[in-house]
Amino acid sequence: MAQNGGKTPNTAFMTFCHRELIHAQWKILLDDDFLEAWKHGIVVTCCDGIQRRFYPRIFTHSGDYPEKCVCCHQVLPHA
Amino acid sequence: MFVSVADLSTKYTPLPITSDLVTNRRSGSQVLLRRRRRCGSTAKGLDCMHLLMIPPPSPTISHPSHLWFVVNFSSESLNAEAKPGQAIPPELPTEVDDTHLTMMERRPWTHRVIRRLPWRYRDMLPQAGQPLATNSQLQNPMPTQELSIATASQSQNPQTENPLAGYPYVVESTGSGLRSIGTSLYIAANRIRQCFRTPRNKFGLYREYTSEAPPSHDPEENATLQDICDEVNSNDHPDLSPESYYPYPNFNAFRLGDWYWNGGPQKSQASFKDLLDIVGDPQFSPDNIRDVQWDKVNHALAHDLDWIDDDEAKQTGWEKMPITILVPFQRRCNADSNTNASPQEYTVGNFYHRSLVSVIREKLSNPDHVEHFHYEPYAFKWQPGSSPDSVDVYGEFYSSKAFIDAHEALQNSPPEPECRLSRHIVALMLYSDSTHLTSFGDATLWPIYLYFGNESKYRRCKPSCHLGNHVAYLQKVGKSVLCCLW
Repeated sequence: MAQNGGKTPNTAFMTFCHRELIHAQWKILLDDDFLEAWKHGIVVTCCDGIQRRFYPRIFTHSGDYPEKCVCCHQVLPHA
Repeated sequence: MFVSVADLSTKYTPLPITSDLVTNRRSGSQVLLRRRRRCGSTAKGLDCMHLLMIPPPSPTISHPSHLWFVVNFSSESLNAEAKPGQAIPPELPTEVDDTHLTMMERRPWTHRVIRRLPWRYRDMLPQAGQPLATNSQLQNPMPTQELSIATASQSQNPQTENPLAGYPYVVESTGSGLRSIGTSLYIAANRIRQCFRTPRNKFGLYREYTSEAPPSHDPEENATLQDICDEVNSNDHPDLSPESYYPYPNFNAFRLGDWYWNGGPQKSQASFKDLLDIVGDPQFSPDNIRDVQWDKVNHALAHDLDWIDDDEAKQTGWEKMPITILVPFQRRCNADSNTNASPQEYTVGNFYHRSLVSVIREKLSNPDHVEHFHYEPYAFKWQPGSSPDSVDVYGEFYSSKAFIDAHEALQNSPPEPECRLSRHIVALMLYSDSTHLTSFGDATLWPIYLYFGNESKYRRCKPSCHLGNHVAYLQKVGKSVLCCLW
């Protein structure tokens, strides 16, 4: 604090950092495995013995702060 | 056998269900009317009642007016199965010696009224939808090729003969998806979708699947009221293994440690009672705590923060990854500010997370959850009584338009090469909110939870079902940490 003359980062700067951080974490969550499953599905042998191919789709995301919004359409290509 | 008044009026000449019935009995015919005094005796008043029809005594008598009818107004008869051989008194007792009865019991049985609640006070318990079919029926091969041709030619007339007449659902050749996307596309891909409809339940609700084949899995087949009600089962809390109490060696030591650290900084009566409860518990054994090295335990509590590095934690799929972001940075006070006026890397901390695909795989392989997992969406509709139109019912996610549209888009997309497996949507519903860990202090966590829209909302909201999945713990940007950059 002493190094910057007692000034604290302004709101725009903090918003930027919040957004960068949340996007960096979501980039880790939506990894290559997930993108592959999104496009081509994952084959799972279900408990009834039937093999099915599952495609994950994100329908809702409830969270706070609009600046932390992750836009799936930019990150994920459509199948 | 029960028949309704409506059936009677269509099949037979309408019977004069008024005083004529009584007249018939008096005149020697075999029709008996048991009637409530306050209820109207017209046919209109009999709409909600059931008639007990008994075969005529002689097969030669064919006119319906010679059948025996008992118009039964009691509440039991509305739901009870009728027995063909139900005893019908041949004659009404005219003079009975009832002097041994009380005054209340002396009323003639014909005038006795069985009291019951008015309709507006009666309640019906929720009921699951009608089941789809038995497994043996579902495994029958579907004549897809023939259906595709039949569907194309019969699309204007859904009432024509239907190749799935043996199935217990109503099959219509024209589903909504068929109309919206076009028949030619389906025929080209040899993928004709049918409209499978379950029978209506007693509320008039039914499900409507649009798919190539009947659903291979019916999650609502075994659904009971217990599954969706809020009642908490005492067996929902399984016994924990000794490893769960780490760093405490056993349950009693854990309870004592919990009392010491979480019981408040000052002694109080309530705290003393808590201690007495622990020590007075029949499961408490002094041997469990005699040799506990409390200093080591407390040290482990304070410093053993890298729990995620344990091999056991890695087996559960949790991973740790440092997070680095670029922040705009300019050293204003420095003379050579231009050289440093570039974004600087700033490592916030470790990001704990699980792989989404591993969570999905674990979910789909869990035998406890898969029973209620909806692989296919359906349109949930309501068609009350004899109404020709149905009304869409909104409630569950797997009956929503978004799910149905996504499912249709997936079915219309080209399949994987040489893959004939059925394709399904896994609906991910993410939720994140920062949470305080302590009543005082600033210890917080910011977890991301993952729910599956293929599960019923009633089960998702029931904590004992354990349907929420921890996916990640988000890191935050702190002002004080950022100030170090300057």
